[in-house]
Amino acid sequence: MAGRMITINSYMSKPMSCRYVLVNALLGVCMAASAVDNQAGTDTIPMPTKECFLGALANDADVNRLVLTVKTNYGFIGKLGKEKSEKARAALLRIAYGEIGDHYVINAASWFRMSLEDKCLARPLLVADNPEVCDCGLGATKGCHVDGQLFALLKRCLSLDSALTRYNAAWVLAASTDDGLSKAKAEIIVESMKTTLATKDCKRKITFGA
Amino acid sequence: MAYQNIWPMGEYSLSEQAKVLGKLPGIASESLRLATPNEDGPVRNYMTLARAYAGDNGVKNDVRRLIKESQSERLRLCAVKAFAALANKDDIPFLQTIAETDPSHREAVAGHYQESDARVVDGETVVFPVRMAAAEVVKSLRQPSPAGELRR
Repeated sequence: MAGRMITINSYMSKPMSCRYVLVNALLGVCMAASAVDNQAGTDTIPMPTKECFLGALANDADVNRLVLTVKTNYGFIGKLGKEKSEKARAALLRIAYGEIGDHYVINAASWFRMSLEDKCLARPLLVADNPEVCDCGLGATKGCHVDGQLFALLKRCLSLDSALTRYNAAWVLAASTDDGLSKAKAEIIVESMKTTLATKDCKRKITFGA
Repeated sequence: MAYQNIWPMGEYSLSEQAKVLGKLPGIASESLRLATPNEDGPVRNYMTLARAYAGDNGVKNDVRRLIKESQSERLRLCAVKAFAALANKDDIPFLQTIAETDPSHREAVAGHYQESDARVVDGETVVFPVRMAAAEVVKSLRQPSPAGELRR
């Protein structure tokens, strides 16, 4: 808990509104409570602290700041992503829709995607200008039946200027059910392959398993 | 994962797209052949691997050549994996040679590799990704099929 107090104090030393101070203080408590909860070996978030977090988001707090604050505790966001309440979904949708394109935001949203019951909810992500948001949406879409609308969205993703997004889109196609669209799927993958080495992130080094 | 690989994103993406392409259900080898560009280059190479994944024996020698001659470690690694879709026990000597001689090596990540896979090169403990992949294919080829026969 002492560590969390230091965190909160460090935030207070920076110029920010009282609201941010309050939100970050609440988050500090949330994380501390969550950590204690994890140490106890249980898989629940104490309701009061979880409500604090949700309340902060619902009050239209700065989403960017909120998510950056919890960036070291993806597990907390993950648990939040499994919440069924509309408030939790609304808050996480705001993150997932990429109102800000921060790396950590996308990571947090990636937890959310696992909780989607109706995978069609993720489709709006696939038309985002930010490829990272598209990647998030593609993760959520994996396993979907590919209908005409989704096919068109995946075709778009496979033409974006991002090798990573194309990789993700291809795997959505691979994970979909055998729907008789193999020939059409093959055509859009082949088209993508022809230009993948010209994408702007193609030289970016990325760490993967074999 | 026995080691970490840091790949160029473009080639990684290309290789994975090829894998997906070759494994699409019911994809016709002929359509992949027609889609393969004539000019040499990475796209043609990875299209060849897609055809291998799809079970097109017509590219077997091409895949062998890629495994032996490509300068790209990523391509060789994927070629070995794609070759598994076409290989039979007659290919064991070839794969065994690859499993013993492929030059690419990576720093082994402590606690994530088997001692038998690691070597010390210039004082550094390393593993050989392509060799390991080839050894895996050899191992699978040597495993008896459910009918008790070696794979042919």
